[in-house]
Amino acid sequence: MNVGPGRQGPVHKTRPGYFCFGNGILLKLDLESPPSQHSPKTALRFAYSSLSSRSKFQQSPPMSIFEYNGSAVVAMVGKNCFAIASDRRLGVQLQTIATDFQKIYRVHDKLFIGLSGLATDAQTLYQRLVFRHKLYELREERNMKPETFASLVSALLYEKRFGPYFCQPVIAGLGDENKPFICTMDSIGAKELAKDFVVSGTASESLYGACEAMFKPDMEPEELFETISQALLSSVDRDCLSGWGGHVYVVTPTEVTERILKGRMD
Amino acid sequence: MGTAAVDVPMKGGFSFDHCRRNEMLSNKGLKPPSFLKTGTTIVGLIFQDGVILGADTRATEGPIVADKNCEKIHYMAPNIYCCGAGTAADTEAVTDMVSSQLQLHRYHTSRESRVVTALSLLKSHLFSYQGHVSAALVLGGVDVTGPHLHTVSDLYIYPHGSTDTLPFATMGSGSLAAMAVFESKYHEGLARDEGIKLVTEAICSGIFNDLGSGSNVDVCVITKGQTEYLRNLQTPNPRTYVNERGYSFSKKTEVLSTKITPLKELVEVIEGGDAMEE
Repeated sequence: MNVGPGRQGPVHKTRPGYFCFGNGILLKLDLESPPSQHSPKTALRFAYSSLSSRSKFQQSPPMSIFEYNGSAVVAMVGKNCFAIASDRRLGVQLQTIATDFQKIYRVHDKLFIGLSGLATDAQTLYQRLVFRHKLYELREERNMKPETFASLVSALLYEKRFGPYFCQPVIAGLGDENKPFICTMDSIGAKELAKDFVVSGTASESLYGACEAMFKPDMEPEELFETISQALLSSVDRDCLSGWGGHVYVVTPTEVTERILKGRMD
Repeated sequence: MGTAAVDVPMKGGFSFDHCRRNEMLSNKGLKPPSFLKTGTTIVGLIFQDGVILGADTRATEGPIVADKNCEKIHYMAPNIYCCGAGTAADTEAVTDMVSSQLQLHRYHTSRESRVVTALSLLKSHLFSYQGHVSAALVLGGVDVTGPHLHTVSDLYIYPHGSTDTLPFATMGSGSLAAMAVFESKYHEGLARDEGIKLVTEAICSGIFNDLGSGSNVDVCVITKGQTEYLRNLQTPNPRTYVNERGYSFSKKTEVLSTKITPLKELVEVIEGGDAMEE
């Protein structure tokens, strides 16, 4: 974090193009167009943008597009069951837009997909997946197996290899004989199958650590819920861009339990 | 996507719909995404009566270990396997694509696939994408003309898609560590056990000396008419920090709301029962 002496009190550098004042107000700077194109009204902006050029050598690295909205998604396998959880924040960089945002979508009763990354792409991708899943259901008159669904998602993502959706999906489902299946992918559809847990989103690094420590094999649904919730909440507390509670689905062969978690609101 | 308002499933091939938008975003100073890579050690050698392929099992995303036990030896045909390094999605997609082409070719010709056929299909795909599909492969198999080992390189040598035919080969970020072992110990006419031992040693050299490679050793032995896939042949890096009693939480998470949806039992329809009354 860079701190520069501003002309009207301290100005904290946050992300390129944005300045955060001491009182928490964010100001977006228009760094793209040259000063001559701007009316006198925008003079203030350039007073600060000149500041940014002064401390250019200290600038933070460019933001990844995955960090634009912020997200944390995790899935875990238990004994004949699985859990999938996400945070509830939708932000535009550091500003929070919504605190009840759905990142986990139901494909059918025993198959869920969590989409982290850029929210607009997540929703578009979800709509295309629903469309393809419905076509499959109509033709085959049965639900899709999680393995098949993972291949479908992977194919849809790899199709856009050279202009990807900025999404990292997490797929969790119960397959044949209620065998739990979890899997994650990168934004171009490289499947990563796991036996224990998978994570994605801006909080993925802290989720890896939390899950690695807390996970144990063959947990019953209740214990699985507690473990995934603790892992999620402790991880998003170390991530600015995700948080505001959690959304947890625990799926067993007989029922789906959906819980909303209380979390920090900062 | 054509002119259709509804995007019906496409026939295949890449779609460049988002390229302009994504380029605009990266011009605005947003970092383009990083992909899952297999910063890898993959090797192969020809021994007395066939080919042995080997790979480590670490997948990375930047400095993060994304998968501790992934599979890098891909199936091409019953008598041909292929190790992949580079962008994970590309190695997976290109090997899947070629393996289905080989399957169709077998249906058409009713003959066993040849390694050179796989090689040509791989290299023509990689060459036509001029290095944008980034995959470095070690292709090995035994066909009617004997054992073959090739490397298909896309990452280091221009023009992308160049191939090599070798008695022993290494690829990926751990290729130097593995090649050091091969160069000092490989000789012609290795026995099966010696071959497996040498491949394992080369992979272990990558696992321990290259940070992009890690975890376990996968080996695949292909001989005339028989293929043996030895998944996790060696696990030199087991977890040492497991808490026997697990983890317990003193404070339970606060739940704001709970919704329980019972799932319906699947109704089984038995055919041949009494017909429904009209």
